Amino acid sequence: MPPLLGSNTRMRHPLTTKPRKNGAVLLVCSAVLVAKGAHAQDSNTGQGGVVVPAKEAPVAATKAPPVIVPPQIKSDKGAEYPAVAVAAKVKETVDVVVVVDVDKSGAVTKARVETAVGNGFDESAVAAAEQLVFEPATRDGVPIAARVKHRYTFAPPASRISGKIVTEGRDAAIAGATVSVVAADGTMHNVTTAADGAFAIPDLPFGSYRLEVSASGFAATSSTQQVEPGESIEVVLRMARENAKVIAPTDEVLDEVRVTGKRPPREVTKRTLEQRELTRIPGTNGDALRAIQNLPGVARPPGLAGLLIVRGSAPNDTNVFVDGTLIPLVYHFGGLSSVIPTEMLDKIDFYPGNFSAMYGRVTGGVVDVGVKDPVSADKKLHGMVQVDLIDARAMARGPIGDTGWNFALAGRRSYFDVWLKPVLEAADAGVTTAPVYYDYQAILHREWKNQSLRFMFFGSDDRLRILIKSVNGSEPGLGGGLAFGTAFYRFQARYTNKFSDDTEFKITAAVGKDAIDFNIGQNYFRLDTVPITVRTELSQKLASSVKNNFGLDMLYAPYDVDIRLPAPPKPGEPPAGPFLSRPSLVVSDSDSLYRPALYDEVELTPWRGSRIITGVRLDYAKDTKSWDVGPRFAMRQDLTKEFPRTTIKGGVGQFAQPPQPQETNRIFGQSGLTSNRATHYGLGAEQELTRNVEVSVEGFYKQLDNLVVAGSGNSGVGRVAGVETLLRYKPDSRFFGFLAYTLSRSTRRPTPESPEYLFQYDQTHILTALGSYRLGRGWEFGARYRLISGSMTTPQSYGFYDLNVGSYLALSSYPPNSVRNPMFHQLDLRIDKTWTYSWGKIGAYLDVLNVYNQGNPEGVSYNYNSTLSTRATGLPILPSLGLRGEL
Amino acid sequence: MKRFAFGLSFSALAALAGAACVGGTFDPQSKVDSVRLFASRADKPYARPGETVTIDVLATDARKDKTRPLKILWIPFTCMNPRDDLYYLCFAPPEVRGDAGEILPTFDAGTSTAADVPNASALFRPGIDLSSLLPSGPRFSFTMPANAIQARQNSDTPYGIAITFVIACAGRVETVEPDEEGGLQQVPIACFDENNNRLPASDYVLGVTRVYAYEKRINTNPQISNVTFEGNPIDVVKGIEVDRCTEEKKEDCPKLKLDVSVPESSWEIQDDATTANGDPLREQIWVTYYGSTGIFGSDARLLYDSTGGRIEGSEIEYQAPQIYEDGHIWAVVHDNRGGAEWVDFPVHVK
Repeated sequence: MPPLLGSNTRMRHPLTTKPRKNGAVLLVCSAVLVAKGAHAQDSNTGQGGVVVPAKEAPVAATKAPPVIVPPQIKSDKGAEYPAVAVAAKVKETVDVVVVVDVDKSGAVTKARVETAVGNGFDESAVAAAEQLVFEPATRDGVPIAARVKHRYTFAPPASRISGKIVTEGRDAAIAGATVSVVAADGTMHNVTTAADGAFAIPDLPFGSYRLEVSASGFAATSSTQQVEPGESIEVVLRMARENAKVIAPTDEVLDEVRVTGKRPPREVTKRTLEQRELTRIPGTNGDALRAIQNLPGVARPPGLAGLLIVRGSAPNDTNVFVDGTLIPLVYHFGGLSSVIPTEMLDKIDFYPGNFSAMYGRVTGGVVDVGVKDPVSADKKLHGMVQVDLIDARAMARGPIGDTGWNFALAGRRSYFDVWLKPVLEAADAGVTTAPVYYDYQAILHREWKNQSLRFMFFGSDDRLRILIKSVNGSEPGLGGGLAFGTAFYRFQARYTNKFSDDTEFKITAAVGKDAIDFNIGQNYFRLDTVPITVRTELSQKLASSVKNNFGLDMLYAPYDVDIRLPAPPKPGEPPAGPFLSRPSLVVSDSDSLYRPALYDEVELTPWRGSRIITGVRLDYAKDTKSWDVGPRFAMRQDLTKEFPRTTIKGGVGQFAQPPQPQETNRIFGQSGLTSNRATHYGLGAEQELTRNVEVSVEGFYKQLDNLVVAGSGNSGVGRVAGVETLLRYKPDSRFFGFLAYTLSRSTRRPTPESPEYLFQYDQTHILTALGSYRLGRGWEFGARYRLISGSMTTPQSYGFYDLNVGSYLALSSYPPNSVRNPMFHQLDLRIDKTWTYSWGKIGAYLDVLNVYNQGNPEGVSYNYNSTLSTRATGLPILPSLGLRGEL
Repeated sequence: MKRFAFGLSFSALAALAGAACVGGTFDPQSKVDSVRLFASRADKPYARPGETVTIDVLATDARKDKTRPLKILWIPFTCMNPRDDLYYLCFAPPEVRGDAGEILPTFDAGTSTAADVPNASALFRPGIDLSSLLPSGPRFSFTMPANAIQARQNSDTPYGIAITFVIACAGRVETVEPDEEGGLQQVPIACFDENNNRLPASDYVLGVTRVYAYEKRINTNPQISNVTFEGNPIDVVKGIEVDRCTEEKKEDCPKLKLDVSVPESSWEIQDDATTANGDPLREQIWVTYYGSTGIFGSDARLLYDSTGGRIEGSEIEYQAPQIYEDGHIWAVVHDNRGGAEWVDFPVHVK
């Protein structure tokens, strides 16, 4: 007897919990007692029919044929598409017939497949059949047992593509991007990304799809993805800004400032701090450059100093560039505020070590500040004015008519001289010029299809001139006229050309002036330099996985210097008396620094997820008449293709730093010097834990050789070893934060025979935990806690008395830096409140530094003859209240 | 402009930028209540080779208990040209002291007798009581060696430096063993009581003074033309009379003006020295105050700036004590080339 067919059971998607239709299912009933079948309706769907053959006792032929009603399905939960079949990537539709015994109550007593097909289909079908509930079959209205055949048809389950669209470099979500998923037959599905950059396209047949993504302000990108039956894949596509610098038309992106670790593709380490982090981290005062001081591997500078102490190196071992042009100072008055305001910044690339061959002449780290191009997506003028107690700043930018050129103008002047002058005068100092600083920036920029040209003029000026009437007993030379002035400016031109997809060219040239004018009593230091720098690079893609970067990095700096100062003491040797009371050395010279360099780097991506960078840099220094060769190697390897990403990374390289000009000066320096050298080693890993949480660990080791030591030539050596860890919650709509910890040890020896002692800036433990949470209704609360090893100090004791100047000469313990101050710990809090109106916003904040008023030791203070001492403590609790409005 | 932002911030952050560190409060250097050396005065701060130089020191003993009398003792050797002018290398072995360093026995010991002066190696042998061997008294003389002036590695101007040491000790003087791992800067001499206990800083001072030798440069000591108290010249023999402070708090005590005048003729031009602009550079002159009673508003005041000239308002504030006591005030005028002059006078508290 041929089976009769029913239809439409339900199957559950193997990768979801939601039941779903899975085509027609035939219910087949065979009955001994039933001569003819009759259609029955699927109780669940109302579709299809069932013929129920009886399997009951024989009935006398003489009687009228009984009325047989086949069992009716009352409940069918459907069969799940087997995971085994998904794994086996079964692409065909599969039928499974199950023989089901139904008792008089309608319950299934047994189910078995008629013909096994494998791949988990049999088990899934039987399991589904056992869950069937029937209205029992009847004979003449009396319920009877019955056996039926039930067919399950397994069609390949649908697939799903979802993911996120983010910016290249910092992984910021791109909202409103259009994602088009194009099937092989041309069928297209379009979706728009949500506020968090997410998108999803369900119910896709398996197959190959091309994802095409477009968003305003970003270069379109695409990707081809293969999805198997029942597979749900997630992709993250990163979009680069158009011409690298086109600014997206949202305020948030306009204000974007990035602080990154090594920048792709030449990185070993990459870390990103976003605009919200920069402006809301308690204790940084919204200063982007200060945010770097919270990153792993960067030590805490004393007080409010703006020093960058990177991986156990001295502050002057780290150079700061503005778009590749070296600048002589970063902060006004050594730490008050950055010489380029945060509003002007586009990004900050921070290289704590193992940096690219494009950078040289330093053995510590590199900070390259990127200034925002004045591109206006809406072709309109924009401006900003900000006033606070310290300074006032203004900025304007926008297009210049229809010329294609854009401009930016910005300036800042401090006016704390208004209130600081009376303070200084009250301290018995005659004030000629109260402390004042300026900085200024002007930019002209134009982009063509594959080219861009930018001119920038920027500079800074700090001045102070006072008369100190009260002489310091321990340093009488510190009395008298004190004049301090630092100024610099640069005229910079930058041209980029992307000749083709394989060839790019970039050149940045700058000329300017550095001026330092320092005068204290009868001593002075005056330096005028006219530095000329040229940095150019040609990038050529040689093959699909090979790219070459060849570059020139040149510095030429004629200078005039006038110095009258005592000779500085040698390391580890106490001075011959109060510094400014000793006989002065005088020099007046005109000379030049000429330091050209060539470098070449090869980027290899031999297999998926890999990046290998090998490079070499050749430096020449005219002042030492010596060459330095710096080979470098860095690599990254992604161990997983998709989320969560696991990456290992490492690098090794040699770095050289020519002596400082004063170290080779004929009067203050010594002859025959060569460059300081350092070998960097790094090895680490990065692991994504969730979409927002990532952890990274990196061990580093620096071997320092050939260090310049006053009076001893290149006799110094040193070592730095450490581990950096960063657990980071990337900003989302509510929260951001990170936990950074660095363990390190930095030592020096003036000569290989000298005892090894801890470096002045050594900090064994550096723990920083910070976070900020949006509470809603415009409120945001942030906190930063730091727990850091104390700074090093050299104890003093009662010694000699200098009869010539009337001050005691303390005995300094040997070796130096033998005592560490107690642990530094401090909590900073910040509360923000924003009111939004139709015409704009008003914001208020309370930023409290050192909330529990911890008296953290910054050093040791001695009495006049060093028989008594106490710890000199840092800043007490310091609340700061601010208001800001925007129209 | 489409977008305009303004802001107003009230932050005290920068106000404290220059005052990040807060230290403890100690007695000032001007408060004298122990054995003290104040200054030395060479009759020729810049001497020529072969000239005899006489040095006077200003010292006092302001201890309450003077059971052990104060002695001023001189180490009768002149240390010539130690490496980098480092005075503490005078006590180091010759190989450390540097090629230029030389210890010269000084037989012309001024008011003291030098007949029994031992040689250097014997003098610096630990455990020897030097009190009776060393020349004593506030004055000491030596002859600048003929070869004192030497070319300097980093200076166009050759010069010589003669370093002498003087000890103010209320006890017995001995040399002590150096710490072999203690570095170069160590004090080789200590002061002991009769029970061989090392005396504290309040009972001894080891002073160092330098006399420079130049071929042509000349320096004379500054002169003190006048001392005024509350605007009136004082008689340094009689001293000054002040009323006892009757206020409960010291800071509320009356602030009296004390000033030392130095004639402009003492503000000498420094030979061959110019400012960065090429102008002649003169001396910097300051006065340092010490007192065994009362409080000074500041320890030292600038009198002449190297380029700015005489400083107006150079007087200091003096506050009388809250108890009846007689004391003393010392005012030492220094120039930045080793010249010095001083004046001292009694203070009677009414």
